[in-house]
Amino acid sequence: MLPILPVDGTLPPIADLLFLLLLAFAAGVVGAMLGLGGGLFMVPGLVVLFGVDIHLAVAASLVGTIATSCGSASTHVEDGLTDLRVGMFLETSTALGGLVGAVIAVTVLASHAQVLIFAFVPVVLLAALLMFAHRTGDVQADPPHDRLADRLHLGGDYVRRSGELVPYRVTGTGRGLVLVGFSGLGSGLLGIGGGLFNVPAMHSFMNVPMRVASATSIFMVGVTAAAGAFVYVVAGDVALAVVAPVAIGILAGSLVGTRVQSRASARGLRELFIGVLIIAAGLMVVRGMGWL
Amino acid sequence: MTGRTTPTGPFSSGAGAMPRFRHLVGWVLRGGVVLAAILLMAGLILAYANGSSVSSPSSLTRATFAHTLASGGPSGLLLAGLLVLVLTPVARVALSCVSFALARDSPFVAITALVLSLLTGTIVVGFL
Repeated sequence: MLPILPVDGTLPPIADLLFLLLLAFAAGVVGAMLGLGGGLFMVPGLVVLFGVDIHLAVAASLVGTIATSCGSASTHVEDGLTDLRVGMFLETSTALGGLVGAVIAVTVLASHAQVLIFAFVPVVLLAALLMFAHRTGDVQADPPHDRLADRLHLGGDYVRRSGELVPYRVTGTGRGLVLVGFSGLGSGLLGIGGGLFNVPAMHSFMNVPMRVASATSIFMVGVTAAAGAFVYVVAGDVALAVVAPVAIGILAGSLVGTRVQSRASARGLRELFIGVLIIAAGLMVVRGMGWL
Repeated sequence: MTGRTTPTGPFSSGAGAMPRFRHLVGWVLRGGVVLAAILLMAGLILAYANGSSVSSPSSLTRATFAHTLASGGPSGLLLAGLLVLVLTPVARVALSCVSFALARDSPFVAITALVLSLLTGTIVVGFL
């Protein structure tokens, strides 16, 4: 029998607490490796395995996402793998999306949990598709010029694991902004972190190298999640007994995931990304249909 | 300016890009999560040690926030940890805004100020 976590403030039994910590740890490892933020695993995990109300699950996941983001980004920022300018530029759109998504979730959809559960599926499958459609691994040497990107000096270089210095120039800021806005919306509505569309937006549309895109995404999702988290905190959707172990577990996991990421190949990361998305969507279908 | 060559602005990624700023951002993020983790763990351990329950979502409203924080105890520690965690990205954006202002990079001052207003706007509106 799967545990149903109490959300009335009663503490869960120690065994459930440990299980929850373990789940959050796994979500943190995968989330940090992929630049997602952990929420993608955490929400289906809490909803399907622990029977937590989706609003509380989303709130806990957003807090966990902030933990992953801050823990992981602190390392990447100093490594020089994070593109701070691209990240902060795109944050305008993701923060707005995160805010709007959370407000919709706690107002219009406050009593429509089923809608949120089913909304999860097309969103993650779309992200998987986006990732799958663009399999060109490397950056373009001379992408089309983008006026805004040129004006804001977006671009840079990063050191490959081989020690080679790879320059890149950013393009497609318009498409990128729109896509990460949806990523923010998904984050606020569904607690999925927001890395979901950030990585494809930066890598496929904006010509940012995969590893830089992933590191920049993890940097951004903290702000995206914070924009949504405030709304849930104010709306009273925070279960302290759930949020605390989720945040601690995810944080520990993200520290491990960050370390593994610097050794993983771009191709392996992408395949893991797609696999994770499909599993998460499947879990939510199972839950939404009431099969579990 | 033409963007033909790789732009290497003060904040662009890659080796040699504003190491002091990067170090500061890294420090704020790390400091925030470490403090939050300590508070959350202390709250959780204390809650289990006392065998007491913590504030339920429905009892944790705007009105009881300050009281829960001030009371200390497991709920106060957990709430403090939660708030530190949520405010860490906000602190990072504020710090970036100041750094861009010092570097006289006005487009990015505007960008970070916009993000900051989106984040703090929620807090202000929510608690009015």
